[in-house]
Amino acid sequence: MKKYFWKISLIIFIFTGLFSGFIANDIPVLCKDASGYRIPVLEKNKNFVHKKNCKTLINPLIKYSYKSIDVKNAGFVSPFDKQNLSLGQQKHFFGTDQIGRDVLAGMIYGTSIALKIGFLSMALSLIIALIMSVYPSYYGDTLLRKTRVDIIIYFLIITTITYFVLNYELLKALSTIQIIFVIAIGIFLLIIIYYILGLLSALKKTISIPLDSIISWITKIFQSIPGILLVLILISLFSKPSIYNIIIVIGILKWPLIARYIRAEILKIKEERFIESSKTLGLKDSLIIWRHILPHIMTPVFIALSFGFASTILIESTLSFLGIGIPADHVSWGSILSQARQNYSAWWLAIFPGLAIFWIIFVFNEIGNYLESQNN
Amino acid sequence: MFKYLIKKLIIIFPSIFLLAVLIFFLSKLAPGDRVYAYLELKGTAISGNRTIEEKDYKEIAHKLNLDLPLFYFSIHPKAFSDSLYQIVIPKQKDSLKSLIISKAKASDMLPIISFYGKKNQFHKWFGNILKFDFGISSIDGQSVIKKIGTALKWTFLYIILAYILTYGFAIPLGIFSVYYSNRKFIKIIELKLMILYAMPLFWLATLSVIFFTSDEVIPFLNVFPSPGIGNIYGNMSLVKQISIAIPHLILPSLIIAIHSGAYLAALIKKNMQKEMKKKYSSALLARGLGKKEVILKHIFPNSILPLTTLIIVSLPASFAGSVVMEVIFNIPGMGRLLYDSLLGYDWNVVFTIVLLIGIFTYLSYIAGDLLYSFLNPKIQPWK
Repeated sequence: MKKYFWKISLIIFIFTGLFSGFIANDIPVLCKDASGYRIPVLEKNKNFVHKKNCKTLINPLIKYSYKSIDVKNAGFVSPFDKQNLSLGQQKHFFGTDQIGRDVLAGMIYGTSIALKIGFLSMALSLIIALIMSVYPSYYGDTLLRKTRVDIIIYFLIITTITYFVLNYELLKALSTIQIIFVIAIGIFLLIIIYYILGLLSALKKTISIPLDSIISWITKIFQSIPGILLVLILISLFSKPSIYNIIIVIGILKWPLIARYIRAEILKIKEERFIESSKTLGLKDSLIIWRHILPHIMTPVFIALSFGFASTILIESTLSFLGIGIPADHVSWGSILSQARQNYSAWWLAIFPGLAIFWIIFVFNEIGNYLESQNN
Repeated sequence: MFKYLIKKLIIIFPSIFLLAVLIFFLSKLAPGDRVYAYLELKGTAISGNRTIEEKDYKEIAHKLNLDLPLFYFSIHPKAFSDSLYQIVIPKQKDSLKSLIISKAKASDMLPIISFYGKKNQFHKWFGNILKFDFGISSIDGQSVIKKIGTALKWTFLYIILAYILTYGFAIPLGIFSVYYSNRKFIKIIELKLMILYAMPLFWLATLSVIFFTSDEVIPFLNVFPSPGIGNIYGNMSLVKQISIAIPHLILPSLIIAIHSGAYLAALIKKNMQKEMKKKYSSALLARGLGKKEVILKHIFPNSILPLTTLIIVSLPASFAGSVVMEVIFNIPGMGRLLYDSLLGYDWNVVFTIVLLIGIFTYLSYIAGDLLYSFLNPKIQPWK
């Protein structure tokens, strides 16, 4: 029963998010005119469609879009009050806000925003977490041994790349041949430095790189920063508000959560017999990681992703509630909820979007808990 | 132990310096023109009409130290002259840069390190901070430290209230839920509280403002005073100000207590159950001590240890994390100040708050470590 509840919730959430334009819109889903059948929702120029030109065949479920303004019902109309509707006009099931936008249509559009921000920022977090956790936790503090020459060369490469990234403007001035020439000279210089340094016996000694400690230290720093504060400040540093800024900032700040789960799992798997035997068989480290370890960390990754998804939605709705770093015309669950602050008697602006946020956070947390209990 | 303390204290200074460097460069990324913000404050320029003499612009940029290099040294391509920082007008700087880029050769890519000495923006900024001069707010021209001082007073009051209520609620609940762990009613209470914890804080707060501070939706439920901190004038005594504000702060503190109290109670319960499984508690029970006595006198003091550090470590986060609550309940504290400054592009205030909270967080972690080893002699990090 409980499992079905989660599944159905998840399906409803993803379906509404993906097809929000088809569920709530002020233009028909399917109509017919002289040129044949048309799907106006998918057309780029949405103002082109008029009811007179195109005969409506299928209407969306909710006949309002998140942008459409119903002037007659402006100024916080409750769902239970008498609404000023013209003939054939649909009722505002969840009421309207101050300028007369339909709350239900706004919430359906908000679902797509939540879905987009949740999935994209979690994808970004996952990529960063995989880079930052798989190799370091496999090698630990002692397994990765390099000569001092190698370390110097790595350091040189990283600083050079950083230098060029910071001054990428200058690269634009050079032609492709010049850039290739510069890179060739750079590689040539690196090889020469490598061989010259190799002559010194003191630098040939191998030392182990404490990769795992370094990454754990970085993770600790990220986790000690008061979360919402940093999100607020980083987002307001962007000069133009956009939801992609939110995705980037959350993606960068949430990776330690996923990395921690991956690290714990790899530390466990590392000690298993099959890894030992593949090592004694002489398999390469990268092959062991990609073929034999990565398939095992899928469950912890999903656990971390579902917890991360819940907290991402919480951060997104908090941000849009505060109105920081998001476009002014942006409609999401949090921004609808924030309008309740303008008029405290408009309870429908607080209850319905709040329920949506609560429900999704609850479902994702429960999925995470369920997967975690299955894993142990 | 003394050596360990000295070591920790010595490492504080470079860490704070590094933090300051980081925040300084972060503040340089902030959008908006500082010179225009200064002019708007003085009333000589209006945001819509941005025309100003070149000479005046340079003068103010000089006054704000914007014509100095950023840091003690810089690494830049050979193409850019080491005196590029002296051009303060953004348009001129951009056109000059694009001119240089258009004429760049491959050899111009080579890096050059140039040293500037003490005459740089960071040195002046950091020097001012050491003198507790954080500049002025670009919204109302007040000194930043004064603004933060006033805000800190209310946040402090609110956080003390919230902490008292939270722990006063969570600790008895944790003990009760261990003592009556088999009863049905405690399970129902726990479930209800966990649902409250899963509710977003800002939703809970908005709902309680709607239902408990006004009688427009449901009559006779307006038991709490309206959001804000009441009628407070500048010339009132501090005691009177606090006595007026406290009734207004009860509802937000109560919400925090219910919201995070459930989580804390679960944590306490988990810790206590871990202690319950240890041999000493079953030995005590076997000797014939009452369950109540064992739990209160032996298990509870042992399980509370991790909580003490949690209180200290979570303090800075609650100073910053009260943004949402302070915005909803109109408390003129730090979170509200940060929010208003972010919306008004008042970067002086924002980055001062960030720096203070950064230092506070760092110090609280060290304090938490020390306190833990002080309370639990088994853990000795100096050995």
